[in-house]
Amino acid sequence: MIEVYILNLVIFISIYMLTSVSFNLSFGQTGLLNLAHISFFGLGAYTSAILSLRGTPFFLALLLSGLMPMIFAFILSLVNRKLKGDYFTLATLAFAILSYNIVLNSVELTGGPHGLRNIPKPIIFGLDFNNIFLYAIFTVFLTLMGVFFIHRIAKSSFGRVCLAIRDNNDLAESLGKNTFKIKVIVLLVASFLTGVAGCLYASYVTFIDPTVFDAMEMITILAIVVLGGLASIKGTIVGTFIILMVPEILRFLDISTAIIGPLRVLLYSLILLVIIYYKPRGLYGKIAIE
Amino acid sequence: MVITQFIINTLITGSIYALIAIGFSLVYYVMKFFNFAHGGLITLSAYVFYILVRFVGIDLIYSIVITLLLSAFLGVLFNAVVYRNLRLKKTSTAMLILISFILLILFESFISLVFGVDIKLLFPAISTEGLYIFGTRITYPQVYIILASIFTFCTTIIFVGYTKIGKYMRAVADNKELAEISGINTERIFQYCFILSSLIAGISGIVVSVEKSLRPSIGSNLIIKGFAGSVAGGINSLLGSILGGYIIGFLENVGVWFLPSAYKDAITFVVLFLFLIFRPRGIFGDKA
Repeated sequence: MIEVYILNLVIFISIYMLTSVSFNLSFGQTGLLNLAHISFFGLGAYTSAILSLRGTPFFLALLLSGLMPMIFAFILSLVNRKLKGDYFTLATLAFAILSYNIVLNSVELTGGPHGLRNIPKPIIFGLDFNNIFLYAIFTVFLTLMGVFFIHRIAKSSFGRVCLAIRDNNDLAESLGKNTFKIKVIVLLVASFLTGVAGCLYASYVTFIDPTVFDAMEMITILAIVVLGGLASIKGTIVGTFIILMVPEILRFLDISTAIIGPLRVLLYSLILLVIIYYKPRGLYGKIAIE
Repeated sequence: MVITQFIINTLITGSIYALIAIGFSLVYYVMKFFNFAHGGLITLSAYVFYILVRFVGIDLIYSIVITLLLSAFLGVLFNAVVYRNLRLKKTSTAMLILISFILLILFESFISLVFGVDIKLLFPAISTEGLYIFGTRITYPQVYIILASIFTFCTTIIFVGYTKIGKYMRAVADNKELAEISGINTERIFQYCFILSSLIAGISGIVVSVEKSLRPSIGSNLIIKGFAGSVAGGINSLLGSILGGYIIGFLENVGVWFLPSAYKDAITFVVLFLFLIFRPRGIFGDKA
């Protein structure tokens, strides 16, 4: 029993890690506060669920659940063309909240508030991923690939231009960098990986409802990235472990399940405020939030 | 008949959106950051008003006064405790926006914890009496909503346009450094700005709890309409924000004729997005 509990935790930590590391690329590294990041996760989850329920092979569903959020990320990133980042944040928050409503209300496609049930688990090369051990290995493998990929980007010259854009957009532009194009690429990469994380989530829990789109969940990812420190991949990895332990502790405290959800979000928001106030660098961040 | 119904619906939705838009854009106009926490304050005021009227059972006028005082107090508190210290540390507007988002979620989760996530309704719309205009019924609460909004718009515009503090606000909005040099205490002006915007949030909350069913997420949903309205009308213009709120209300009511109701919210997003891409300064704004 205890193995199942631990493997379950490993899978959730991997999924959140992939989501948060890609958010750190856009927010920590490039300074793009994309509040629709959670919607990209939800888009990935719903794309893979809808496709898998209609019998699409898993790898195709996985790929498309990465590509679907990329389309929306591209559209949203157009706001960066003329306006400064604040307006981008405004547009992404609007997208996050309104896309949640749309998923909630378009019952024929998404099942509305009841969500989608019985999403099939993948069977790849005759291996049945109903086996939780296999699924954990698969998730950890994909997460490591994603994290390594972002690590390579962050350490490359492209990653350094991203840092420059975050610190001073106009200066980076005056040095001949096409900052708009770089922001678009960063958002595309981040949304792809988040969509993949969403697909891993949907086919693991086999049941999704609109709460995967909930803007409130963005707080979890923000807490992970800010606690770990901006632009630090190591920080985000450690942050994921710490932040995801909070609900596990709450679970042992004998609190009714009805209030555990809002209580968790409340705690995360308070943690965030305290970190921004007293330790703006987080655990491993090189730069403070300012 | 259909037309009068349509006009009345547009007026009511538009008034609510315009109220939210003006409170939201007032803070942006003076302080240059998007205060998402405005939505949280609206939700809290709506719930407090609901509890006061439904369960405490005090006079309507006292409920309104208490709600407004609480809302103004909270706005001032958040400005003094959170935003002020961050401004003194020269925090960027992007981070103030992040903080305001965190506060919005904090409000929302607090309300879910205290009041529960179930839907609450103050006045069942069918049972209330109303006026008949060309055969279309408009309930008395709805008449008050429209009147209260118009009163709020006029007061705000007169306050910002013709009083001394309003003049200082416009000076700070125009150029903060220059205003400081000429001896204006900008922190105090920010404080006044927050009081005014929180009072408007309180009024919006009362209006929302009269007209709509309450959920903890209602504030974050409505504030999107509010800022779509301010962006469409021109975020640097208070009058523009008001008209923008009515425009969003109008387009939503037009949209339900052509689109399935599930996609009603898509209209708001498309309008907001198109304005951000093609005309960021809005219809009446002078600069982006």
